[in-house]
Amino acid sequence: MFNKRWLLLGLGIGIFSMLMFFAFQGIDVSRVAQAEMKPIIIGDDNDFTGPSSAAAPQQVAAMELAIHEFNGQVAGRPVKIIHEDSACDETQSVDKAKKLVERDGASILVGPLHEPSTIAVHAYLQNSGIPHLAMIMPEAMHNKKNSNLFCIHGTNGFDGYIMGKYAAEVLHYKTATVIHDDMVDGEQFTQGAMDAFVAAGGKIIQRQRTPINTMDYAPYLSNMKKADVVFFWLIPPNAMNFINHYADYGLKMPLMMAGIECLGDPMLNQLKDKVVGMYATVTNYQDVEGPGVKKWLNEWKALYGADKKLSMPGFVEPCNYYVEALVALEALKATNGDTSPNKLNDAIRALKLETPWGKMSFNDRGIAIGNSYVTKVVNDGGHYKLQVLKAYEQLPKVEPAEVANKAPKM
Amino acid sequence: MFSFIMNLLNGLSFGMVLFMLAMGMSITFGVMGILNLAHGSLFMIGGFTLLSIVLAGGNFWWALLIGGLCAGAVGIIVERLFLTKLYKRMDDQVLLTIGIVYVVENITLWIYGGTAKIVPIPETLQASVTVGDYGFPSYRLALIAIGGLSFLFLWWLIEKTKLGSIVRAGMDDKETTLTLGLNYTRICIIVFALGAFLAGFAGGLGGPVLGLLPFMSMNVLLYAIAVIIVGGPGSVLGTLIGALAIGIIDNFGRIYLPGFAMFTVYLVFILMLLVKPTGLMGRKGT
Repeated sequence: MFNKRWLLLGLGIGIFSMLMFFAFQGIDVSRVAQAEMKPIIIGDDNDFTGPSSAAAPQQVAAMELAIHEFNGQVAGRPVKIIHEDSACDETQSVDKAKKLVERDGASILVGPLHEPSTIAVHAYLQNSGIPHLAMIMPEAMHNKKNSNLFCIHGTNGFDGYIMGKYAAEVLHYKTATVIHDDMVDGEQFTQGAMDAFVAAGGKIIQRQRTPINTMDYAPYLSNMKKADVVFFWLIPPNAMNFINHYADYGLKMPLMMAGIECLGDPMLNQLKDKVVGMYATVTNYQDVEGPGVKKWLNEWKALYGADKKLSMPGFVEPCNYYVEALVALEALKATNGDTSPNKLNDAIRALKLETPWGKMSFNDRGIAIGNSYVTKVVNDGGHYKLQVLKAYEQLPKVEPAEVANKAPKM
Repeated sequence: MFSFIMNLLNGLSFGMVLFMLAMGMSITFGVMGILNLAHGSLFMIGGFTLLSIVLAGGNFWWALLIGGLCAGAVGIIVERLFLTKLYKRMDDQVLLTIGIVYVVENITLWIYGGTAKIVPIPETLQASVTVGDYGFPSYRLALIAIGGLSFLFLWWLIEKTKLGSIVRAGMDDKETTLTLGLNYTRICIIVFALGAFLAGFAGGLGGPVLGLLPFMSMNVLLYAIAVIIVGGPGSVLGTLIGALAIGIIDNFGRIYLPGFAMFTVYLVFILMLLVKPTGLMGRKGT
């Protein structure tokens, strides 16, 4: 009765039926498996060309270092960063953001570096709600609750505020002359310094705005009034020229970079003695001494030491970009690899991160709360570097309301 | 008063760099009718060549000469391989030379990186001269002197030599000049090479003042064009007057009209085009 042939036939019909059943149910097993293995994409909208491109290779390396620390995966899924060139241009920043999100499927977008580009890109990302990890919080947005914008650097005005505060309260300077690029960043950095300086009893005696394409600072130096300190902020190539000309013209007033230190190791070591004594503020930088930073630098050297161009991070931006990547990866870890925008945004907001430069978190406006350091350029046995003078710990990186707009409009 | 003297000296030193940069473009445009928008790139080639030699321990003044020669060589290559095929096709010349700008900028970025570069000044010129309460760098005074000597040499070359007379004839009436049986092709090559050399020389000399950056071609080119429009193409004296005028106006404009600092030079440029398009001392044929 029990015929082998009938048994085999029955088994075959059964297997066939099961396959047909699953097919009609729409469960594609291979696709499910593929989705689980499909890499999570972090988009990097970065400046590889243009006036802010000096640190681009190091910025990429820093982000890839973070990926390396996570062994290239989170919650069992591979993680990949796709880097695109925003060329310091708002239109290109948005085009690249669209490409990263719509074509490459980025779940988180990092960058761009500059405020105008950040505003442009964020306007695009607001609809999708994809987490946007920008460097600088636009002044126009820091008073609003941002659902998907997070800035590890805070506002431009905050960096200037730290320097103005230090100049007045610690160095006891009474008068200041100001010079900056005639652009958003320069205006905001120095305004923060001016506000803090005036709030602490200081007086601003002059403000000079220089066109961004200025090559020769001689006219401004000849016109500079004598004061206790010079607050300045210029984009890196201009800052190099300015400091160089400042020394050539024999001016002796202390120089205070009223915003994020933008020169970096290569440029400090080109300027050499001309830049010794200059004050600047940093959040994350290789010269901030501490066990966390030392360990991080050792990891950097282990991964990149053989490449002459990447032997050190060299600039502030790579250190910041490392933290950006860390934020992205820790958020993905917190959501167990779930890339839905709402969950990621909530995860980022709830993060209590331990970075090489200390603790970091975000407030409800997406502004980082962390450490800031006032530094001075010193000659350390022929190597020119930043030396930390004072740490301002766990401050939300926005100019306090009681200080904002204290300086007269000039 | 000392402030005025300082600003005047600043304007003169900047003007002299512009003179050497623009002179090359002026004679190239005047003689050959070629609009070489890669002239700023030749400036960069001279500057970066000088930088490389000086950083390797070479002598500044020899590096200046070599920088000029390198720019001259690149100029000849570009002229022989590309521009010679685009005679009287100005639109194509513009497109080609802009393309060359991008190529040179990206090669420079690849070799030197994106950071701005400072060119070390020779030790003998590192001091400054006291002007009232101010110190004026000796290097800038040297720049004014070198610019003056360059003007005298170029004026002698163009006004007093046989080569110069051929160049002037070509600028005034090219067709007639061609019928005189002269090897005009060789003259054009010499003129283009000289123009490129001057641009490279200006780049080396101007490097310590303006700094060096991979993306500076267009910035310096705009100044060169403004100088040529104001002074008039093809004229040595006109280019000097135009360069000094632009240098001084730019300098004083930044102090006394800071809100218009970006535009003062271009306002002069536009005014000249409206009032006297041939420039202050432009030659008739150009």
